[in-house]
Parts: sequence; C-alpha cells; structure tokens
Amino acid sequence: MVDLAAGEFGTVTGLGVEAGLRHRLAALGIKPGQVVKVLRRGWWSGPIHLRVGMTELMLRRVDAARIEIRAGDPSHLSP
Amino acid sequence: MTHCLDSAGLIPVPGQATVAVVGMPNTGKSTLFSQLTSAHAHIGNWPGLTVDLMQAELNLEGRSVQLVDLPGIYDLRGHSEDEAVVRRFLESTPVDLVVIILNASQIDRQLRLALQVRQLGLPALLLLNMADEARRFGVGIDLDQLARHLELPVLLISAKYRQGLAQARHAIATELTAAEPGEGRPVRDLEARLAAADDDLAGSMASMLEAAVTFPAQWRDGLTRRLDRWLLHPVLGLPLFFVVMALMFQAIYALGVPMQGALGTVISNFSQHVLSPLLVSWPPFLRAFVIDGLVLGIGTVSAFLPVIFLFFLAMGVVEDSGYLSRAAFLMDAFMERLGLDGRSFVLSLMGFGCNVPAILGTRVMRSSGLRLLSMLIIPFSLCSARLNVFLFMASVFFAPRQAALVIFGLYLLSFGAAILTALLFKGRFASEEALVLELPPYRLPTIPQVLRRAWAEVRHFWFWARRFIIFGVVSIWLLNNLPLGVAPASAQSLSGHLGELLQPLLAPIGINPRLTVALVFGFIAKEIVLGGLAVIYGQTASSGALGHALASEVSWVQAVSFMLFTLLYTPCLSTVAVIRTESKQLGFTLFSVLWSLILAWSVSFCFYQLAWLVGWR
Repeated sequence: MVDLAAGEFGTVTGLGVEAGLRHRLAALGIKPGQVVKVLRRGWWSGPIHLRVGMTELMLRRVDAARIEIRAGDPSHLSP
Repeated sequence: MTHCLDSAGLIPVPGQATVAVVGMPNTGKSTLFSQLTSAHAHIGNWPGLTVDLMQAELNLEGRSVQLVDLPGIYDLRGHSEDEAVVRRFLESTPVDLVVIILNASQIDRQLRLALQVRQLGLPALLLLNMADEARRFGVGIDLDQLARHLELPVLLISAKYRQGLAQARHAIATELTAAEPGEGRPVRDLEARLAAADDDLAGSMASMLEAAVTFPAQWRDGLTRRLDRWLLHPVLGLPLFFVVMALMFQAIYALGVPMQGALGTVISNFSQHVLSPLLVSWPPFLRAFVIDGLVLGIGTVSAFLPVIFLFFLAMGVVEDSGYLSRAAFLMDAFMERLGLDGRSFVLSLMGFGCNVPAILGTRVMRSSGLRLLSMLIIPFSLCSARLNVFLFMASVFFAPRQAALVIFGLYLLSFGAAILTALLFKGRFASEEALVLELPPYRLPTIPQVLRRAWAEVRHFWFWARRFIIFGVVSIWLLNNLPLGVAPASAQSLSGHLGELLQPLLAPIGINPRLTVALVFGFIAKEIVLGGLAVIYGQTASSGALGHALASEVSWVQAVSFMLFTLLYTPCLSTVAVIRTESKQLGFTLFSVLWSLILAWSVSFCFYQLAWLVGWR
C-alpha cells in the first residue's frame, strides 16, 4: 500500500501484521478484498491519509508497507 | 448519580435491570450516555478516551435500570486493554440488555460489532447514531430490513441533536419488559463462541449490507475535502495549525487572566474582610496558618480555575471539530523520529495550557514505552502558570522589546528541552506501536456539549488536586514560619535555613537564598512563585514595589538563570501526582523529577557561567 500515490486506488490482498493490529485494521475496514484510496501522503515520509469505505484513516508508512495491495482503478467506490 | 467502578466490580441489585452500552470509539457513545442519564460523561473525537466505566441509575417507564457505559471498542476479539475490559465485563456480569451504538454513516464496517454481540446470544438493541451525518453523506438505511436480518430492534438517532432519544428509551424499556429482570447471565465461553462464528462474519455482513443499506456512488463530504486541502496542505498545513493555536492561546489569556484576577480579588477580600474578623479570637499562629497558609494557597489555585475552564472549552472545540486528529497527521513524521507519535505532539500542545490534563490524555496510548516517553516530555511544555512568572520578571529586567524576545526564547527552549529529552531517552522507552488513527469528518461541536465537558474537566481537576495542594501549601507555610516566633521566610526560619543549605548547589547558577525559597515555593505550583517572592521581599507584586526590590538585589543574568530554572524543573506537585498515578511507577516518577532538575540546573549553570565569562553581570 505504501507505494500507492495520492489519488490512486488499490485492493487489499493480504495483511502481513500481527493478530492485534489485524483485528484493529479489520474493524476499521482494512481487510482483504476491500478497496482503498490514498488521499494524500504526509511530508517527510509522514503518514498516509486514506479512505476505506466510508471511513478516513491515517496510517504510518511502515505499517502500510505490511499491507499487500493490488493497485488499480476500481469500478466501484462503495464497499 | 455517576461513579467509576472496576471493570469487573458491578454488583447487580435485585429487581434492577442492568443495561450495558457497547460501541466503537468515535460513535457518540458517551454523548448518548450522558443524554440518557443527564450524567457528566466525557466525550471526545479521539478513539478510546473513556477508560473508567461509568454507570448511572435511571428510571425507564417505571423500571429501575442500571446503565453502564463500557469503553469504546473496535472488536470484541481485539487485543487492546479496553477490549479486554469489555470481555471481562461481559463474562463476569449478568446483563439484561446490550445497547449497541454504531455510527450510521460508517455502518459498512461497524456492523461487525453488532454481529459479534449477537453471536454472544445476549439480548440486544441497535442504535444507529449520527443520523444527520448519514443523511449528509448519502448513506440510506432500510431499518426494517436491517432489523429483520439482524433479528434485533434497530433505531436511527442523533444523540448530538437529541433526535430519537425518546424512542430509544421506549425501545429499551420494551426490550426489558420482554425479558424477566435478573434473567441475564454472564457470557460463557466468550472467546470460543466468537472464534467459531468468525468465518461466517464477513459473508453475513456483506449480505445484510447488500439488502438494507445503499451507499453513495461518490464521496459526498465536500466540506471535509475542501478543508483538508488547506488544513492538511503539505506546505501550509503546519503554519496554519500554529497560527490557529497561537490565536487560541491568545484568546484564552485575554479572557482568562482578567477573570483570574477578579476571582483572586474576591477571594482575598473574603479572607481579609470576612474570615480575618471571624478568627480574631484564635491564637495568632493558628490564625496566620489559616489565612496566610491555607486560604492564600487554595485561593491562588482556585483563581486559576477560570483559565483551566476556558482552556478545556477551547480544546474541546478543537478536538470535537476533528482538527486535533489532523494535527497528529501533520506532526507524526517529525515525532516518529523522536520515538513518539502524532498523538504525543497533540498532548504536548495541550500541555501549554496545563500539564496535568495533557498527561491524563496519554491514556489513549497502548504501548507503555510510548506513554512513559510522552509523560517525560509533557512537563517541559511552558504552561500558563510559568508564563505568569516570566511575564512579570521579563518586564522588571528588560525593555519591552527585549522582554518579548526573552519570552519567545523561553518558548523555543521549552520545545528544545522536550526534543532533547525524547532523543536521549527514546531508546529506553522504545515502542513498536502502530499508529492507525481515524480522521473523522469535520464536525460542528454544539455549545451544551463543550460546556458540559469543560465543566466536568474542571470539577475533576479540582476534586483530586485539592488535597494535594493543601498538603503542599501547609508544608511550605510551616517551613516559612517555624521555629515559632521567627519573621516569616527570614534567614532564621526553616526555609531560610533551607535556602542557605542549598547555596553550594544554587550559588553557581546565580540563585541567592531568597530566590531559592521562591523556587521551593514553585515546586508546589508555579502559581505560587510570584506570591512567594512577594512574601519574601515583603512587597506586593501589583504595585511595582516588588519589581524594584528584586532589581536592586538581583542582576538580569541571575534573573534569566532563575527563569531558565523555573521553566525546566518540575512544573508542580499536581503534575508529579498525576505522573505517579498514570505511570503507576514510583521509580519513573522520581526519574522524571530528577531528570527535570538535572536539566534545569545544567542549562542554568551553562548560561550563568558563560555569561560570567563573557563579562555580563
């Protein structure tokens, strides 16, 4: 996910994180199959601002790097 | 009636139904709780602020109900402390009804929590809050369809605008009538039940959403989008934020300082014209103890309450509007390099008003390393109490233009000390905590909401600070007035001896015995430093006489050294107390105090000795 540029979409394919964070991410809407959109990337390698379904989140790049994604333009925005 | 209880300490009253409120952070759960109970629950736009459980008794259509506000959680199977608290609660307490509260506009992900509660087989009721936002964002929910699929009653409400609350009360009462009170049982095999059904969760959630909810084809929150374009701007975002903060502090001082003065006058008039005549028959020592010790000390701190109230009011507006989460976003990159995160920055910022609530705010952090490191840097935030001292001393020793530069320099040093501390100790308090924060849409806080919250914060502060401050004030007064018969704070008094005793340590940084006593006063609270100087020099601060007396004895180099020390050493006993209770570690508390003293002494020493070498006197 960390490689997506601002304005790009991607579909989550896998979460390489420990169980605690995986539960948290799932509850915030980040789970396999979900479409995400990167809204902006913070300055100085700062966090990523993204939208998942109806929720906006910030996520550090180091954590985003552990979320596997298939980049691409989705045909639908809604979950 | 509201009070806190332990996570597993609720004892059911016979004939009284127990209703637990469960919901995700950021859904207005605490707002709903306080609307239903008229209780003062704390609410915030920051995930996970509610830590202690709140409970309140209420009467619903003739039935006595015990309503318990459980901490906001994301996931019943989650690994956070709050999530464990909720699990423990449900496993240990018989609950007659679970009220699930979700953010209607984010039902696409939050429905999950409702499904988990249903898996536990508990009687439940679903409230979809923030109906106004769901409408604004174009989320359409077919309540009947959803209720049929979930097999639970579902209501759409807006707790903030008090819509649908009467229906919600009625629905709770109806559900309780359907079940016999006391029939509720603690959940058995909670983890196993949830784990068993986890695989089906995603599928049933998707089919329910498909059947009952329509989402907008396009993201509709144009307001948030437009505001974020500026407020999160890569170049302008941070400067804009600092301008907003500067204006906010300006407003707080412009309004608060006169209020503080007025309240101080009222209290001193009361002490002079009402209390003194009443105590005229008391022995002089005891009378002085009550008037110059107890009342003066408590009065000084009470006079400070309006500023605290205003501070929380302003902070509440910034926080509930959603802007604070943006500050965390803007500053995270910098803070990450200090071993901290965006939230630590926001809390340090709150510390510029008062360190105490800022340290309380570290509760949102899970990793203890991150929490402790944040607690270590927050006391370096130049709080309003220290600013009072600096404004006075700068005006005595410097021309107005220089004075402004001195104050500005002290602010820079305050940031510098925090950054240095974080860099030095980030290895000792390492944290691997991932930072995933919601950036809620911008919201307009309502006036009753922020007023109620600021009031609750002030009450809370006063409640626990009181005892501590009384203790400190009493000991300082005794130091100044014992042994019996000495002139207060003179060289013969205990504090005078203390001043002399500390000379070998403080003379190298230019602090004379009299200033030492003021610093001892300042250990209790910086609010007392000015008053302390006034007592020591026997002059009042307001008439300008104190300034003359000081300037005749102390050089500007000594004055700056005194200010540097005042900025960096322990802010006040209240801060120490809250570090102790929040860290639950005496060792860490002592370390924090010791480090601030070492840093204060070293900085003052370097400045004073260098100034001496250069020939400044």
